[in-house]
Amino acid sequence: MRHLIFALLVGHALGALSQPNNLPPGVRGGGAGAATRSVAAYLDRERGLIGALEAGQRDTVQQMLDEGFEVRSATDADATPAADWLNAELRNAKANGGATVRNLAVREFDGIAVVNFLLDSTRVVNHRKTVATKYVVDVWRMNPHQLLVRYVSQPARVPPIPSRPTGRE
Amino acid sequence: MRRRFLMVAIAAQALGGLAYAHEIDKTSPYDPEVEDLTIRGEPPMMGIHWDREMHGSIHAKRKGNNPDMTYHGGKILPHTVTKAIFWGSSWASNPGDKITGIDSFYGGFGNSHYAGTTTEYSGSNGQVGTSSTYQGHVIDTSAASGGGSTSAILAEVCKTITPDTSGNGYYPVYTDIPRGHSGYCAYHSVGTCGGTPVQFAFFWKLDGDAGCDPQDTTTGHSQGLAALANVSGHEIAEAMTDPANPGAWYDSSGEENGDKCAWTFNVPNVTFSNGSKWKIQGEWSNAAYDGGAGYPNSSGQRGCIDGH
Repeated sequence: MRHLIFALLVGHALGALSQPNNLPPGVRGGGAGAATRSVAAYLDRERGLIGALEAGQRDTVQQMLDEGFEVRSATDADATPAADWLNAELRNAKANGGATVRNLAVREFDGIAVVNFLLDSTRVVNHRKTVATKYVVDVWRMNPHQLLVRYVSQPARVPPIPSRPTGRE
Repeated sequence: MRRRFLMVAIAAQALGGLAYAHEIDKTSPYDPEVEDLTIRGEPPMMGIHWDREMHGSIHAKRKGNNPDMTYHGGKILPHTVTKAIFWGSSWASNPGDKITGIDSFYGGFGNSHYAGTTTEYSGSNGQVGTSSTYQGHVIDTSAASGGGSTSAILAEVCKTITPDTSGNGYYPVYTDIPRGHSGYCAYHSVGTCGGTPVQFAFFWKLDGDAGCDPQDTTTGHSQGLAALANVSGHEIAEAMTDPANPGAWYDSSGEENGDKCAWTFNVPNVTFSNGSKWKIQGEWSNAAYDGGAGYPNSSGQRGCIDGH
């Protein structure tokens, strides 16, 4: 009997957890922010990189990458070389539905900018578009502006795609 | 009997949870044809493995070439009733030129050419207009919060002002807290005070903040005031054209009219209707872009108008 009551309480708690977070009372929308100069600038750079890949502009992309550019993730001990990454990206950009950047933040250090953001990628699976989100950390050299290395991970939790702009898309 | 009843109750609870889960709308707000499968508040799925091709995969969204904003069904602000709030203990003793400057900014915003940069847009409740009433400012010397909680800023608004019953009240909150490493200089949001809709905005203290500095060299304002004025223009222009949920005007990347022209200045300064001058960013105009009449934003898209 006590176990049943406990199970009932646990079930109720899990049910509550499954519901989306409500906004605080009286607040119907999130903040829509004026990005700093650096956030605005790196939003442009990341979108430019995406746009060049979409357009199949291999040379443009290569100019944005440092000679030793590589991609690293938790799923592989080895880095992915620039050429392999670029070939795959150009192929995928044709086959898939696009990507958007959000929640971008920047920390600038001595000649280096560390940029992190969520990347919502659209794919077509069984004739249905789906979105998957990755967490990306890009390290840019600031002079000349080139991407040195990219780190990618599958986030355990991500904030939902906002129902309206937040200013940090 | 009691045990059977409890088992039925547990089963009903579980099924209720499942039913609720199915009710969650996963449609992307930016594209109704997209189903958002992002994991929300759940533990990571087991067994995910990316092949080499998926590392850092990015796929440009096929948005077409038109960067214009589109309408999303919401209301706009046909006119604004503004009252500034200065929140923080230092405002009483060390305001510099910022309080008088912000009074002058909003006092001259109404019927300015700059306010006119937003009037091409309309919403469910009419057309954006240049009319703006400024009710002055209030100072609250209690300790301010940062911008992390919109509800804390809304609470401050509701504490310090009586909301305009028209629902067109706009209440910018200027704090004395430096930005630190936050990625934004200010934001606007929306809520209710006692059931009355209010638009409000949050501003960090931007003294000495290079990341939010418009680099004004012509108006004679202090750097801190010039920085606040520039982002004040950004926020009120966005609040007028995209104040609430559902949203009104923004582009396929979620950028509002201020975002699309952020940190681009076509003229050294803009003169407001009271003669005050401000170095202030332009705002995006669909009409200007379509007609080739705007100046370029940071992406080279010629859709910004300066309101001089």
